[in-house]
Amino acid sequence: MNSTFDQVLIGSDVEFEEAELSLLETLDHVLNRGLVIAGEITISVADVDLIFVGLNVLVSSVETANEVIGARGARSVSSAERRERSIDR
Amino acid sequence: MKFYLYCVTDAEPNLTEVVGLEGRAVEVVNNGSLFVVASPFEGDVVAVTRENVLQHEAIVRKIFSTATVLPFRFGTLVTEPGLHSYLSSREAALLERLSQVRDCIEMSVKIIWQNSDKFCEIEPESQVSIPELDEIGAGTAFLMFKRQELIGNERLENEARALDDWLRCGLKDVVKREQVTIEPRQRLVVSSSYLVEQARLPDYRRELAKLQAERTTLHFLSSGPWPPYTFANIDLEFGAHFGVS
Repeated sequence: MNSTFDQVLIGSDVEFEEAELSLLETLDHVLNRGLVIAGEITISVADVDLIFVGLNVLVSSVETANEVIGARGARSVSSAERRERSIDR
Repeated sequence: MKFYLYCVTDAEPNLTEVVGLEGRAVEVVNNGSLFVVASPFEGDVVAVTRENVLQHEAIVRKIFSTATVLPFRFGTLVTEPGLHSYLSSREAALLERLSQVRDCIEMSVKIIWQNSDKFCEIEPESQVSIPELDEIGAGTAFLMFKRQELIGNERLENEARALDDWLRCGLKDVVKREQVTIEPRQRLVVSSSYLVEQARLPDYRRELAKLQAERTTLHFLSSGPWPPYTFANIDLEFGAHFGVS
């Protein structure tokens, strides 16, 4: 795993191994983000369950994958408040 | 023929020892001032497997180690004419975005509510007294429960916004851009990505450590450095695809 974690604080009610969290963060970045050419994404979901079992508590990657292929997950990305800010310094 | 896309850059990348998804070759597609790292691809779908996702990330990271990149989202397949058309029509916007992320890395912070019963908590002063059912009708009782739920939701939203404000104020001097997602009803309440100048990474880490020390009751999940996945999108495409800006 190439990604690095500065710090991971896990409480008694959140039980994830650091390796799982590292994978989770990678999935979040690679599947949820990045440059999009509208209409050109083609994803097979044949193995999605293998990746996401146990990890979808924290991120919405499954939902994003579902949206990309046209399926509808339990919650839309747009249901969350999302904004980008540019900070002038 | 189609290409599977990894990233776009404005300098010819070094592809020594770079192997693509499922062992495919990796090559550079040049169009004007832009260079796209891509694999020739037969077929219409990319399997979402752990290996493919990690390989995509590894290739982007390898190119990112020596160049400024805009990573493509996993699963981007495009025909060769389509790729050239895209690069020609978006060259100015892509170059501008590359200049915005130059010498920067992405850092992520996720904040998780600590208590799983957070959503059930109602401040005593906000509690709605609900009489016994035989004193009121079922409809009235339903509305009173609903009111209590709304009060709880409002309180969660206020707490989440306060958390976001606190995080933003603490990091505003050490980050260049940020993208924040707030979900008061989820355990993952705040998910933030920051564009940080590489030279300021020690400052960012120091300020984040201070914030974590202030709120020991919160779970922080901090990761990075990443290539600028969150800040790669040209707004037009992102908005058109997801309906958000």
